[in-house]
Amino acid sequence: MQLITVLNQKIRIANGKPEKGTISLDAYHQGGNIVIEITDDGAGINSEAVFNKAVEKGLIDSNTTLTDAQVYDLLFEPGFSTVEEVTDISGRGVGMDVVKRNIQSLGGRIQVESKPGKGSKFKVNLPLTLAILDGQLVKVGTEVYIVPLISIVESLQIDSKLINKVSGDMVLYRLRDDNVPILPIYQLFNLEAENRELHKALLVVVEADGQKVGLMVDDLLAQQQVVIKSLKDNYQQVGGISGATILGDGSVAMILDIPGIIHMALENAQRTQTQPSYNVA
Amino acid sequence: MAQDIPPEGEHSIEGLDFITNGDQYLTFLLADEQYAVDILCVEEIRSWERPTIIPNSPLCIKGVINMRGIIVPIVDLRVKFNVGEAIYIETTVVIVLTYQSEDKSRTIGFVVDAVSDVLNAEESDIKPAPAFGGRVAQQFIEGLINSDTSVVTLLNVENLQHVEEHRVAN
Repeated sequence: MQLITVLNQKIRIANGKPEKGTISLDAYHQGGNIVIEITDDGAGINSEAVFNKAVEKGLIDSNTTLTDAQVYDLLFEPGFSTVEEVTDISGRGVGMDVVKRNIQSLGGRIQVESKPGKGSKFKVNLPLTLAILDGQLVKVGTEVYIVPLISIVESLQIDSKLINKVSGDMVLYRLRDDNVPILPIYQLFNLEAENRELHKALLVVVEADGQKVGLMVDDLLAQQQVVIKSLKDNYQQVGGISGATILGDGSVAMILDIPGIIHMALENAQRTQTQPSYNVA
Repeated sequence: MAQDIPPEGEHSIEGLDFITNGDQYLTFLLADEQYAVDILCVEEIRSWERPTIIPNSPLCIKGVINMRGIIVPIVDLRVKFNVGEAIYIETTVVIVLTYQSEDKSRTIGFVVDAVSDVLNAEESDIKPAPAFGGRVAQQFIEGLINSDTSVVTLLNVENLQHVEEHRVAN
């Protein structure tokens, strides 16, 4: 064992690497997932050895051409191992297969990147099962919605003097130098609104992808942290809604998907724009 | 062996069959029509509570409720099947059904007018439904069961659970 260590150190120095190897662990949020990266600065994965072993085991045909990524995927096949000798912790070809299956059972996936002579990176992607969001509760008619705090630019009482109608349908609000389009939630969601009059409503200015939009709501309620529950378990993804949550009183509230809402509003606007008007007989 | 089992209905305790053959079904009413579902799918029976609206959902989907931390969609069968009137009174009841397939389990609550008896029926009691007429789409009907002089429509829970593609109403 010691002889192997010394030999490895010599190989590392010869390759311009520090004597001691480094394995780094990194974890971060990305989209609705948690990403865990395990990187090493070792010898990298020998694609050729992997390919040949796979052919030897009958997993693939020797004539097949595979991309590097596809070759690395072979590492996860049950019973796959390129070592000549089995040690007490590795070599049996069981570990990686179990790892992949466990990750998949959590709804995630694992990817491998490698540069021969430089090192390898294992990237594990896991969906967030418990996602928490800071939200602003708003009232639209009889319904309570949650606006993610992170998308809110500001909330204000509408001053009717600052409302401008442009090109027939579009209603804009003058927010200092910006003209922010006003989006009535009740209209987008086809709800019964208590108040359809702009000047009595509140405006929650939100921003996504550099686009500012003013959401017209009836009232601002509390701000609180909410646990995001997916609608996909028993229902399906809903346009404009990123999930649901259970409020303190036990009722369900929908969490708004701000980029989704802006997209929906854009689509609706485009639809009315491209519809030709016909003469009704 | 068949003679040992007392015929249905002839017991000292009214309405209860202790010795049963075949499967059990929970019957319920939509207007004055009788329907039934496999009792093993019945998760729970709840009284009607106003659900949270799902924006732009089909008319028969009333919204979602919180059932012990689970978000459960509520479908009004009277609207879905266009039977009777969709009114919500004290006796309006929600039957929560869970259907388990190999890869997925789905829990959905169905609004009905009233819950009725537990019906025992064997596979041979389930007769095919006539293919013509009727407002309930064929895929929802498993078959018909004769109960005294009336008929009970046995519903296919798996197909009932199938949620139609969500579309933007505009």
